[in-house]
Amino acid sequence: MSDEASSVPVDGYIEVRPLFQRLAKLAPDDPERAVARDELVTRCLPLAEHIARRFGGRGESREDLLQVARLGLVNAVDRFDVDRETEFISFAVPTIMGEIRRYFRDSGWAVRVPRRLKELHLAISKATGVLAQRLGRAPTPTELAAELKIDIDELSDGLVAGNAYHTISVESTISDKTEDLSLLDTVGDYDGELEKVDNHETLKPLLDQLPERERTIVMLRFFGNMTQTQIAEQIGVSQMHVSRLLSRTLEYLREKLSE
Amino acid sequence: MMQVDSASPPDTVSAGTVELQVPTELDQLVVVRTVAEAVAARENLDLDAVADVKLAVDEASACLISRATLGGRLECRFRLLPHVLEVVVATTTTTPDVPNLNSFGWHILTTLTDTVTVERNRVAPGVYATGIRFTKKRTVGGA
Repeated sequence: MSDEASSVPVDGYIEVRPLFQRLAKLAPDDPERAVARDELVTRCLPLAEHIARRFGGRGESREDLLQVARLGLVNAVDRFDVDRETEFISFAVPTIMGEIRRYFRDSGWAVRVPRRLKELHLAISKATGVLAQRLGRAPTPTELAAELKIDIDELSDGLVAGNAYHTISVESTISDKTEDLSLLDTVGDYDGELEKVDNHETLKPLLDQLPERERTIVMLRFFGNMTQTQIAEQIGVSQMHVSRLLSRTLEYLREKLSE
Repeated sequence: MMQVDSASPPDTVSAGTVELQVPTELDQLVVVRTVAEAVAARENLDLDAVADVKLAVDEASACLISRATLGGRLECRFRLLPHVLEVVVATTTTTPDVPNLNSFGWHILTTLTDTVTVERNRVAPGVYATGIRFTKKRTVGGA
């Protein structure tokens, strides 16, 4: 594995520079721009996969890690300034690793949970994604138990084990704003809906202050009427991770609103 | 057993009912939401609905606990009806205006649930029996 790690095909990525130069020349609304961006992301996907693999075997789902790494890559592509001297790879690697580190910091097992339960929880998380794709909605526990060929009691154990997951406070991630993803332009898009809420004058600055991802999840769920499964698909993490983030963000907002 | 409010006589407490009482302290929320999750999963709600029930129980409980009378108990009742999970969270509060129906908390509750109502009765001067009752439908097939 470490041999593989040192063999990141650095040279292979140097030739993305012309692609970035082309991208930089295109107007933001030029349809060619999306095509060029996709091409760049696709071209660099092996880099994201490679980095994700290096973080494997730490009790996190490989799919989640891969998706987080890909998100990091998309961020790197969007933020890379081709006029700077640096090569894309030396910009992209820390960006992707930063995204993965943040994921590890955001989630992890707080309590000693038997390995069997951790694995079961991960298997459920993974099967949830697979079934959601297949069914076009969140699966039921019965469907999950059938998919995993386990009985419903065992499934229930695995689900509830998720409550032993560590969630750090939202407050400590607020300073991360600069490295956040822009999925939602502003809270302003939801002004109309927000104004129906009595305490919106207190609420709005709190929402504005949230890390972009947490804010996006709250806005899409409570003002955009999307389900957790739909949000998970949109931002590229598992439904269970959306659930955890939502739970702790609401807790944070409750605390702040009652001050 | 426990009588949550005057609107539901004790004989509606059937075999499919789960009841729980915890001290009105915020660190009890984890207990309440873990039970909520297990009950909703057992009722075979899809995972989005399970997550919604969990968040709704959290929100309703936190709201009531913040206005609870000193040394009170938070009572939670999960009743399994055909295709619907009904949850009642109740305690005694010091003010009658809990929750504020224009608050963000209430907006959260209405978004997460199919129906939600508040029941309150003055039981003594400055003491109100306040309950939040909500339902969540089982939207997909499967028994």
